[in-house]
Amino acid sequence: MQKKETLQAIITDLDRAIKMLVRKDFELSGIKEKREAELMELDHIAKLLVRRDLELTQIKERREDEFQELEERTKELEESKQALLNILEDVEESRMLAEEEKNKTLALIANFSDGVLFFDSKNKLSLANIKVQDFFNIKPDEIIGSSLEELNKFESLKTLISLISSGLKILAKTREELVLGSSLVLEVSTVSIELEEQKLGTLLILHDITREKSVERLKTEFVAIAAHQLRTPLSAIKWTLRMFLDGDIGDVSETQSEFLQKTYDSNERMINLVNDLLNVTRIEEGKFLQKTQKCNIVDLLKEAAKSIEDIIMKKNLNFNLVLPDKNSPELNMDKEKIILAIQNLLENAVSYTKIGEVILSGAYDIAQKRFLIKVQDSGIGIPKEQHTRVFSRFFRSSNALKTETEGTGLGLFIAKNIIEAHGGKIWFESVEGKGTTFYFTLPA
Amino acid sequence: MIKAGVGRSNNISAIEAGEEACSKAIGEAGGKADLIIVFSTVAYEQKEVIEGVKSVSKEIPLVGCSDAGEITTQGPTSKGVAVMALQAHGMEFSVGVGNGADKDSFSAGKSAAEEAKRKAKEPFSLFLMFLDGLAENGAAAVRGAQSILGENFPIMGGSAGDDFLFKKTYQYCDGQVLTNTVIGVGLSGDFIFGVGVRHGWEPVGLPMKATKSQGGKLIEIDNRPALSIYEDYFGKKAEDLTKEPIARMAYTYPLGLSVQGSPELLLRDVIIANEKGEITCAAEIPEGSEIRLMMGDSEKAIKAAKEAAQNALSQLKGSLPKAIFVFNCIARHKLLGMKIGEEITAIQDVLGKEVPLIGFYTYGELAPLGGMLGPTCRPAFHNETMALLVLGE
Repeated sequence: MQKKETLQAIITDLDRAIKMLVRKDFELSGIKEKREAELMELDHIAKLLVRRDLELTQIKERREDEFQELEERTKELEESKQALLNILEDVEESRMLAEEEKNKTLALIANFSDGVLFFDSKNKLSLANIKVQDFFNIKPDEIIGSSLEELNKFESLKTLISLISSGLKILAKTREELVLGSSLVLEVSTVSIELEEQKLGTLLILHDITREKSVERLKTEFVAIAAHQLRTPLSAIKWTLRMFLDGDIGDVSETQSEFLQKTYDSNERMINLVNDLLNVTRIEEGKFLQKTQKCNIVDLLKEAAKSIEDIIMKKNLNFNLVLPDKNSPELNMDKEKIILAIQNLLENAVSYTKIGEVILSGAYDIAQKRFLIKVQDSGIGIPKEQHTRVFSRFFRSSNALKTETEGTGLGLFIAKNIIEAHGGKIWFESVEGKGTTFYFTLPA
Repeated sequence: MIKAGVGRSNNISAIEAGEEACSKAIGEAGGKADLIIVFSTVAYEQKEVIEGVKSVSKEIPLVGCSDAGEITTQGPTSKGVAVMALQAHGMEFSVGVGNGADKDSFSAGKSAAEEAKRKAKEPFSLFLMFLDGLAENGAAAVRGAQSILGENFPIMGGSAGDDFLFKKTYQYCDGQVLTNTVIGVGLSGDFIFGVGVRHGWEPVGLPMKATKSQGGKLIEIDNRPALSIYEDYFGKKAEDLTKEPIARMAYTYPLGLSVQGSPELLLRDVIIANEKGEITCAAEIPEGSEIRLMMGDSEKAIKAAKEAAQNALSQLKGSLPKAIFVFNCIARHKLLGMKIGEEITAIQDVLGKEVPLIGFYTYGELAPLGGMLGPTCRPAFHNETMALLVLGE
């Protein structure tokens, strides 16, 4: 009985123990489940963490790429900067070279024997050398930077400014003489300075020609005096010979008359030469035109034509005179000189034409308000290579020298000066062996 | 007596770059050398850069490989060439080459070790290896060499890189530019050395099991397609992970294997994943291995480099460091980004700033597990790891 009880008690204990164990096991499995859930959660967190980290890594990578690009850009910039600095250095070097060149040029200009003035594109004086001070007694510093108006206020500069400026604009290209005071004569040249079609300004060069001028004047004076002194005895000889030839002082034999005639002709040529020389000196002295008066060109042409009638007949040439309309306007002219000019042209035409004709024609051009006078011949012509020298003093063409020994070589020079003094123009067309035509105009 | 010199150049001309770097290295080494080590960018025509080096080094034995960035005493650089000239009185170098690493890495590693050993006059104390970074199985190449040298024989080295292009890498042996080869150099004679191997990566998440693998190819993890772990962790779809080498996204998230004898998990880079969900790794992951996803952190990485240097220094047992070789993973370059120089500075803080240093950014590192030498020395193929070797006397 006691055993049974004991057994019962053991069973009860065991049962309790089993129940406890089951309960523990249940509790344990609960804990395990909980742990597993916790682990799963940790794993999940780990995954989230990795995702976040990956994102960060990728962002960092992009940043670093950007940074690298930035560094490269910076490097490029640095290189550009260096390149630029190098260029600047080169430029500085070039600038210094240019500066040196400029200094040389300035030294050259400063010590130049001519006066030099440079006006910029706005016509302000930007450069003047020391010679300018010698000429005008003004220090370059006082006038540099001045406009033409301002320069005009200096008394000593007035004549120069009025010479070079027209409406206060500097003339592009001129070559004039400027007389300053009693003895100083300057040749003023203005040159427009352009660089690649852009006007930089105008350069004025003042060349002292006082000495040349005085030498020239002395020469002209000498010729004038000499010619004048020659003319009186030549005239005396002329009239004496005339009297002999006309038999006014007794008979002369035929042989004597022949010699006297030749002497007379030679004397005439001498007189012509002296007259031409006197004309030339007057031209050079600038006092050529003496008295101007209203005249009809028709009369002048007729008068000039008359002077060659004899020789035309003698050489058996055809002469044609074409006159302008009678109603053409009258001109203000130095009549004697215009006749002289036409005569010179006509004499040349006749002298250098053996056969054929000489035409003198005049016409009035209403549109251009001028007369056009033409002297045409069928003579020996002028060799082409000598065309440029035709109006020079003492010029005689090579073929003219062969055919005609007479002539001073001054006729065309005189004619040109007469025409130009009247505001006209003279030119010619010529073919060697075929003939020559001289034209000149006279403005009405 | 060991005297090393290091030169580098990024001259735009490959030939001139080779010449410059080599002249400087030999100059620093005292005008002569017994071994020339070259690491170069693939941006240079490879034959030209070696020609440039050889024009200066002439008949001195030359080894090396292409890289993904050079490391010298001056710190990390890229797109250039780095040369070390090693003058080592009392040391012998013996070079061997193994071919066909793309088909059989084991045999290639074995041949390289065999040839080097055959040519050597004295027994080796250390074996250096340069692998093709894109050839089959780096770990097998190490095992191949071990089959000749012994399981506990110290092996150091790295896998050639190609500036992160993953197209073709090159190995250099004397005047030759090779590919798919293993270059081995046996070092013997009178010298002492220390090694350091650390990565600093940390495991995250729960351990997983490689349930199916084949060499470097990981097929299943926890009975699911291997790629699914990256899908889970990255929160990306499989197609996003397969359209370009998964390495580009996952280089700082390698897999870690627990290996006996190593204080850190052994890292494996994932390189390419396919639409079947298989992942090709830089080296084998044995079937049944416990694996973890690893996460990198720049501070820990720099700290790891310092620890590796300290380990190497302690192994020199008071000898002075004479030359430093750094085999540093390209992934660390990517992880550290602009802080990349700090890692090398950390090493130099320990070993000396003036000690000639050469190295390169690798596609895989060869070093004893845990940096242990002696009877417990077990060389392995690493990824994402700082592996360094210091020669001293």
